[in-house]
Amino acid sequence: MSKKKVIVACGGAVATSTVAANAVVQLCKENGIDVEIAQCRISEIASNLPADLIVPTSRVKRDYGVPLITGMPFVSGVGVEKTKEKILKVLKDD
Amino acid sequence: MIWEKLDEQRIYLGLKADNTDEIFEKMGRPLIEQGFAKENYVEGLIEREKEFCTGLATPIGVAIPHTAADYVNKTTFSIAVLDHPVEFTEMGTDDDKVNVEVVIMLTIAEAHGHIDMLQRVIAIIQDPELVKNIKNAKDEKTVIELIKEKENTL
Repeated sequence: MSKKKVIVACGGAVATSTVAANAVVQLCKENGIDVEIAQCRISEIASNLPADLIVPTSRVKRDYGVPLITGMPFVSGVGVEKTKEKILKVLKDD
Repeated sequence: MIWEKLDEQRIYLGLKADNTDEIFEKMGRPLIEQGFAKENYVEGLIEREKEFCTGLATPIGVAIPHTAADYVNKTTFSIAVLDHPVEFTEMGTDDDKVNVEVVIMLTIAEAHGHIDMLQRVIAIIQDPELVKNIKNAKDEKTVIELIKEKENTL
């Protein structure tokens, strides 16, 4: 399986995206997925493309033509398993 | 251990506020006075909350207001238990509201850093029993003790 790139973004690239990025790295490690993470502000998503997946912890209005799964559950703890499944489904698809 | 960062000065029990701006003023101003944050920190919090809201739909509503590292000198965090719930917009939504009772203000001096502190704060948020105990704490010392106990299990 080829290396995957995931953009993890939040308002200031300070707090919540750090938490979500860590969770994605861990998830990929557990599932043998080779992943590269780009952590940035929402406003910097476009300049970090292309990517296989975007995991924002804030609202994103634009369609970047890339699958987008909210990383909020990694912060609130509500719905973590479902989010992990969704992320794996995207990253394992090929 | 993050409880070591949690001075009783930065724990507010029964904080009275009618809106998010008042919370930011009451929790943020002391951080400026204590040298943790820069002069414009409170404005930074208010501006950021408008664009990227920080309410969480946890069993007891928690909010984690924070702003860019440019507004901060030194990393710390503060906790407030609100006298009455204040409405925040839920993080990641346009206008879903959550009634927040516990506020954990994150004051972070560099982007991408402090993953350890963040993970520990997240562990607190994700433990409904602990949040409930913090909400009902009788004094500031108890809050520190509760967090210390939690950290000993991590």
